[in-house]
Amino acid sequence: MHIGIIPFATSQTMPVVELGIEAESLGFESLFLPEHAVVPANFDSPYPEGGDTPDEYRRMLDPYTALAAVAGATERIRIGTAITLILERPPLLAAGQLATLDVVSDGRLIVGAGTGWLREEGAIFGVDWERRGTQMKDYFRAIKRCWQDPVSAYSGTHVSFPELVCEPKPVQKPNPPILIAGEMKVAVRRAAIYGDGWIPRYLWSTPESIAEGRDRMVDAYREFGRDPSTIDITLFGCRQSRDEMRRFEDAGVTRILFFLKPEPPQAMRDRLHRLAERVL
Amino acid sequence: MRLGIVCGLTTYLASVKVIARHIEAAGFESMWMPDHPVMPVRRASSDTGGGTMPTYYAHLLDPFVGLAAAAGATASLRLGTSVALIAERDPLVTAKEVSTIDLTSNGRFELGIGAGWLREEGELLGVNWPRRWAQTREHLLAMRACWSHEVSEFHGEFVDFPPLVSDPKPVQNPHPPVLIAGELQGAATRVTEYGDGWMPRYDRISLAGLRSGSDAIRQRLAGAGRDPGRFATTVFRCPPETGAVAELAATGVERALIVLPPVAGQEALDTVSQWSETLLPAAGQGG
Repeated sequence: MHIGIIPFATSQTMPVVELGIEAESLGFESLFLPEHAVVPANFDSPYPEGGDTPDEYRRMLDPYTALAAVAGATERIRIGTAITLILERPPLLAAGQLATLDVVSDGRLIVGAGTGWLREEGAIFGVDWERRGTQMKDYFRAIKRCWQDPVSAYSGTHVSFPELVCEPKPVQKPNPPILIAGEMKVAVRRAAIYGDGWIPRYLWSTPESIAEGRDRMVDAYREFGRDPSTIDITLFGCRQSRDEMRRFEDAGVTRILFFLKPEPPQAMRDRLHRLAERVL
Repeated sequence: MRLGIVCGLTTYLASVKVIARHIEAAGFESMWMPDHPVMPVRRASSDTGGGTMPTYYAHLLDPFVGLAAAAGATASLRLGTSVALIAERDPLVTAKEVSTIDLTSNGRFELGIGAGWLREEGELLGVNWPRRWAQTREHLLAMRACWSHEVSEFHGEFVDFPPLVSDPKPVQNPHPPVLIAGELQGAATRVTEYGDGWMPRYDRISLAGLRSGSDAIRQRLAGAGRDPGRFATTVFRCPPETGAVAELAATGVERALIVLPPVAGQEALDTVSQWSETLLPAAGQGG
């Protein structure tokens, strides 16, 4: 099982590039970043973990450029989004930007994606909220055409474009792993249709729910004639306990991402080292 | 005069990390990347420079992601777009990309912007072609609103968003230099309103025109109550020849950009090394 970190890096915390260098030297497999391009000053959507939305949600780095900077300063650590709000970028731009990220990292990119929970943020970017799942499917189908075809064209409900050349192509073939976040029954189905794995939230998961999700995913993979041995289940957060980690691994989790809360540089560095001692 | 290198990077040219480190070690001031997110197959527009469009224009890496990788791989090299077609991009997403590169590079980013010349590309990405500069202006003003206020909002013809928080802010105060591409008449107005620098093309202007144009923009900035001392002219596509570089340096322009040809790997690195020996002294920088 892989162990990665998901630091809530802002302009006030330990710099993200230093986090990447340090995490790589400590032996973490991956560094993932979350995304909120903007946060509306006023909104009614409830924060998924309950209570007030933490201030750092307003101050997240752009994950595409921040992960590129990490890639430029490291050699081995995998980089990923957990998650990118894929509907907030035009798919033609997302295709080129994600492919460039895979190129500058020599094939180290993992694309964790979802539709988000902040309806008012989605509205700013024109997200078709009631049909956001369908829109995401359309976006990834379009993005995959860009990644796989020398000359791409696409016609869907939410995305259409004429023949064009979209370069570069990703290093990983046929595409960097696409992991779909969200509620189990929906997310595992989406993953089987156009993704490569699932990102369940630890807060809402038990080893039993993971096992059930994995079974459903295996069935759906077989239905679509895909090889279920490649299924990636990346747990978004976890208690720092080896017993707990083992229970989730036994249920089918292939990667655990540990949060690092936003802290000043030295405090965050110390916490990263303590995390490495506990979970690696 | 500072000297920068424009890299139309593709997957077959050289790795961003390798070329960026090499440009920095060779003593150049800056590295720049152009922008064509996609290339429509059917197109009538031609490169405003005339002639056939080089095939590698269709294969360019994304400049924001590419320059961010260069930022992670270098320590002092300045990094810029030459130019970013910001009307083709979402201004809120782009604002945060620029802030993030400026943050991860410790304030080394420069935002060169233009309205593009490839109509079919622009229209595919939501540009109102006849009004592309008006749209470019609004995208920039919207981005500036994000960079300048804890809570920003914008209500324009092309961009409209309610009060929101966009953070981090850029490291450079008030934001990375915004360089405006194009000929003097339009550029002077645009720089005066929302730019920090002018980025004319070498093959479109005389040395005398460069000198008088830069002076004219400085006067307009002073007239508008802005500090002309912060203004800089960056000449795009200076030929990689000692004579041309020395002549440009003598006009007093602040920076010239030379374009790395689309050659692969070691040849690209060797070209940069040769240029550092010949062109940096001609520009008045140490060889």
